[in-house]
Formats: sequence, structure tokens, C-alpha cells
Amino acid sequence: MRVRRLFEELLRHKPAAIGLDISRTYVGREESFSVASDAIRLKALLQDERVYVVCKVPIPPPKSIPGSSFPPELAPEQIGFSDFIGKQDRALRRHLLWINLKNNPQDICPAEYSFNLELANKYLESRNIDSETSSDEELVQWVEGELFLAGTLIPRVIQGDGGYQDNVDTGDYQTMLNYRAPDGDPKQVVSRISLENVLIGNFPDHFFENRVVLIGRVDQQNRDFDDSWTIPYRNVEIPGILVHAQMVSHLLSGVLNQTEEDQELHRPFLKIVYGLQETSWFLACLAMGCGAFFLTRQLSRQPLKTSVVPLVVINVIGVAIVYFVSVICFVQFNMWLACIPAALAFMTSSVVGAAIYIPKHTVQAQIKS
Amino acid sequence: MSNDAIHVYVACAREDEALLTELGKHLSTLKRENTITSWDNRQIIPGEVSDDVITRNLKTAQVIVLLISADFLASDELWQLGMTQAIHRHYAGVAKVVPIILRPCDWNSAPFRQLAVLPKDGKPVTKWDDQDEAFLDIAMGIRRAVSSLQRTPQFQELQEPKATQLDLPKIREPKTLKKFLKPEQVETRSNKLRNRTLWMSTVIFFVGLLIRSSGLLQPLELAMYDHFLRIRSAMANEQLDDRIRLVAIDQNDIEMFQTITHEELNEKPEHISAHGQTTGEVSNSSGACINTVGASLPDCVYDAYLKNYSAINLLLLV
Repeated sequence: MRVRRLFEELLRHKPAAIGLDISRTYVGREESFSVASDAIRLKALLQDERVYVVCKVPIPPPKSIPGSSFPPELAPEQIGFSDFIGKQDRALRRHLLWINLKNNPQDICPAEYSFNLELANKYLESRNIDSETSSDEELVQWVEGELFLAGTLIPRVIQGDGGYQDNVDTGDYQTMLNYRAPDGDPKQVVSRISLENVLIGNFPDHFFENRVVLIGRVDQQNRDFDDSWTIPYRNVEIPGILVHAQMVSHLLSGVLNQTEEDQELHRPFLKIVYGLQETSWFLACLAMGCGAFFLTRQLSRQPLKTSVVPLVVINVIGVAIVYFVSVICFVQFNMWLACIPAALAFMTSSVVGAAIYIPKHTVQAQIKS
Repeated sequence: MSNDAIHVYVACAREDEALLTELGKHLSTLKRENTITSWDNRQIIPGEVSDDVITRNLKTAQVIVLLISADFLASDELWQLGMTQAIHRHYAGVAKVVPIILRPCDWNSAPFRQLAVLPKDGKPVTKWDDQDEAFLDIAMGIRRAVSSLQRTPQFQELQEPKATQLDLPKIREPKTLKKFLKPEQVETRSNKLRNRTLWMSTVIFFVGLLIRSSGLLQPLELAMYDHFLRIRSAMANEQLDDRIRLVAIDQNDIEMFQTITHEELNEKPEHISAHGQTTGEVSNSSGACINTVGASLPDCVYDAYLKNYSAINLLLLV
């Protein structure tokens, strides 16, 4: 059968990990369809430790969204959840890594870690064995409530951090998803091959060797299959399998930077600037706004009408400075600096300063004349 | 106005204009020698904005003569406009202030009490037996002040930019000034302003934090985040991740499999039809089968079945 052949073909080419992102909504019909020999062989193939399959965690009432189970042939280590967080933000920006199963005990999808984290983990394992620097330590580690992957901290998004003030589930472990968009198109994150080409063997020799292979549906026409996600790039919708590809790439790019190839792809995880650092950034903008207002006073000691122009000019310059600082922080240092409140702090402090000053000035001018 | 002539600004209360005329006569020699040019309020041309003219003349004056009397001290206009600026300029070193006591008054607490006054010993002009003598003393005093100015090279330098740029440069408020100004005057406008701005800023800051924590700014912030992501993908040359491969399954593959499974499963249609009867959903969508002319019932049922559940699901089981 085709899927069996697909797996045989893939496993023959020594991939590091295979991820099958096809939710199995339909369980327990094996008996009725079994063609015995094929089924047993497929089962054996699926039980290969490199194979991972998704399941979906059901959401308890009041939302009550049913989950989806995993093929019973597989060991619990081979499953990862395929849930994303994104619908409520109108776009997928966060990367869900770990779900606290204690909050939501169920048997349908007993996966603690996400599908993409499992795949990245497997890939890293295979790399460690290759380079013979493998340590006995687990690649995924928890230190004081923070998640480390291969020794690299994955920054956690907590409600109240940076731009996120509202609507954040804090029970789970999530980080900002650092998208990869070659040529500005996030759909081109990985090279793809059609199922047909795999089956007829139409691909280069080492195409799958030591790589994470993802299998999933990429078309979005199917209505029964609501698996398209809005992402922050010009309201593009991408299928779930590409989100997983983005996430695996995100994890690997954040962790690996030893070899030359990895260094080219290396990109640290996105950090949110929060707490004291963020407050001092706002205060700095506020101080800049006050300074700008005193500067306008120096530039023009004229009544209201004439001081509006320098005030506007200085505000435009100030907002531009705030904007460029945030862009540089983001692009260069992978830090997300909240720039809306900073710009507002700058503008209000300079405008309010001027508003306090100007009436006094004009009143005085009236007294004199 | 000659370049060498020292510009003298005379501030005088309206009530003292008779004495001002007297003083003008005594200064006429200096004027004729082209050593000074003088200006006072009476020279405002009708139609000019008096504030502007006064301010302009104050700013260009190198010597500022204050004709002090009770009327002068009582005049708000002279205080507001003349005094503060004059004293500032004196301490900034760009002008010399010469207070002249015309009539007896309480000037000992005024901001200029530390400056040397004319005439001699601060004896008011009207108290002199011979007023001409008093004015002579004043004229001599102004002459001394003017010639001392002409000898000071620093002062000349300071004056240079003044000639071209009428605007005041940043003049630091001298600390000594604060000491002898009355409390109301000590808290000068800019000081008050600075305090108010500071207060307002603090208020803005906390109001801002409040708005922020309410989550009102979140959509904007997220929009900025998206913008940053797009900017970065435009700026940095992002590469394809070569460590990952995607086996893409699309509608064509599904259709291909459908036909295959169709054939292969044909051997056991009874299982599928059994299933079709149990699920209402399947029998609903099997309405599409009616269009398929000559299709047998079991075929229809599992065609519909395959449409509802992805073929891959089915294949996984097989």
C-alpha cells in the first residue's frame, strides 16, 4: 500500500526524524479494513522510533473542542500535540511547546510536548550521535520553571510581558515564534517534495538523509479539514504542516550554531523586553519628550501659533527615533521592544509640556499689549 | 546707528518723562560724539507693536539705564518686560545695567540693589539742591560706564553675534540672582514650568501604564510585531532551512489514492456499506453519487466516505 511504501522509502533514506501530521479522526476501524500482511508491516514501520505522529488536545468546557487521538499502534513517546495558539490573536505569533497535563487530564492526547519539539529533539539527538559528543543528559531540561533545549533557554511568554497584556494562557509554556521567510515568503521555509515524487523515487540521493521529514497536507481547499492558520505576514494563511515546519526550524535555528551551515541559519530566540528594562525604556522616552519640549522652547519663544511647527517636527523626529531603535533591537538583537507606549510617552510629554507653557506665554503677551 | 556707538536703552516710567528729557539734554554731548545712541519708550513709532520694539531694543542694548522712582517700581509693565531681562543680561555679561535714582523710593530690596547706582551715594536727583549737578554726575557716570565697555575686548566679542542674531542665546540664569529676588520671583517661569512638566510627566507615565495593562494597546503592539517580522524578512536575507524536508500531500494525491483504494477495497464492499448506514453524515453527502450514472450503491457510499475522511487516514489503517 501507498503509505507503507512511503514509509519504507523514507526510512530507507535514513532521515533523522519523520513527523506525520495527519490527524486520525477515525479510530478502531482496523478490523474492517485490514489487509493483514500490509497492516502488520505498516505497524512495524510506524513503530520505528524515528516516527512521530500528532494528536490534538481536547479543550474542556466551556469551549469544548474535541481533540483527536493518535494511532494506537504507537508508543506514547512517539506522539506530540499539534495544538497552536493563534486564533484569539487573529494570527499565529506564539509557539506552544508544553502543555500542563495536570490542568486538563485526558486520555485522548496524553502528549506533554509539542509535535515540533519532539521532532527537533529527535533531530538534535541524531546530531549528537553523529558528532560523538553525545552526553547522557536529556536534551529537553527544566531549570527553575524554564525550558532549556540542548542547553539553550527558550524564553517564556508570560501575561504582562511586553505587548502581551491580555488574553494569554499562562499555564502552558510558550515562546514567540520567530518566523523564517526566505524571499519574504514564509511558505518557502523548507524544500518540499510531492508524495508522488517520493513514491516513484524521483528525488536526489541524500534528500532525506539526516533530516527532519514532515508529512502533511498542504492544500487548503478541503473544507472538512480546517487546518489553515493566519500568520503575521500580510494575512497569509498557511497549512498546519507548514506551521510545524516553521516551528521545527525555529527551534533548530535557536539552538544550533556550531557548524558553519548551522551558523548561517542560526537565529536566537526572540526575547520580550519586560519589567525593569521596559520601564526604563519608557522613562527614557518620556525624558526625551520633555527634553524635546524644552528644545522647542529654545527654538521658538513665540506664542502658540508659531511653536506648533517645531513641536510637530520634533515629535515626528522623536517617533522616528523610537521606531528605529525598536526595529534595530528586533532585527539585530532579536528583542521585541514595545514601541507604541514609548512613542506615546514621547508625544504626550512633549505636547503636554508645550500645552502648559504656551497659554502662560500668550496670557502674558496679552497683559503687555 | 553707527557700529561703534554703544546702544543705550533707557527704561522710564511715564510720570518721570520730564526728568528723562532733562537727562537727555545732559547726554546730548555723548550722542553727538557718536559714542552712544539712546532709545526710550517715547520713540515707539505709532503702529509698531510696543512689546516687540521694546524687546528688540532691550536685546540690542549694551547699556540699560533704569530710571528708578516709586512709579517705576510700581509699574508692572516695566518690571515684567524690562527688569527681568535687564538683570539677566547684566549677569550674563552681555549688557551693563545702570540704575539711576530719580526720586526717593524703597529701592534697597529691588533686584538691582547690589549694582552701583547713580548719582553719587544713591542720593535721589530731586533731593539735590541743584538738579543740573545731579544730572552732570549721572552723565559722567554713564560716560565712565561706556568707556569701560569699549575697553573690554571680551564684551566686544560678546556683542558680535548680537548684531546679526537678535534672538537670545541660552543664558544661564545666574544663581546669585535667585538669592536676592523675592520668593515669587525666585520661582521664575521656567522653574515653575519644569516642576509642572515633571508632575505632568509622572501622571502621564502612570496613566500610560494603566492603559497598557488594560490591554487596550495590545492589538497595536501586535501589529507592530508583525511589521517588525516583515521588515526583518525584507532586510535580512533569510534562507531556506535545509535541515527539514516536507512531503506535501495535496488534493491530487488524495484523488489518486481514492481511485486506488477504491479498486483495492472493492473486494470488501460490505464493510463499508455497513459503515455508511451507521453514519448519517456519510449518507447525506452520498447524494452526490446520484450524478454518477451507473454507480453501484456501495461505490457511492465509500466515495462519500473517502470525501469525508481523508484518504490518508484510511490508508494508515490498511
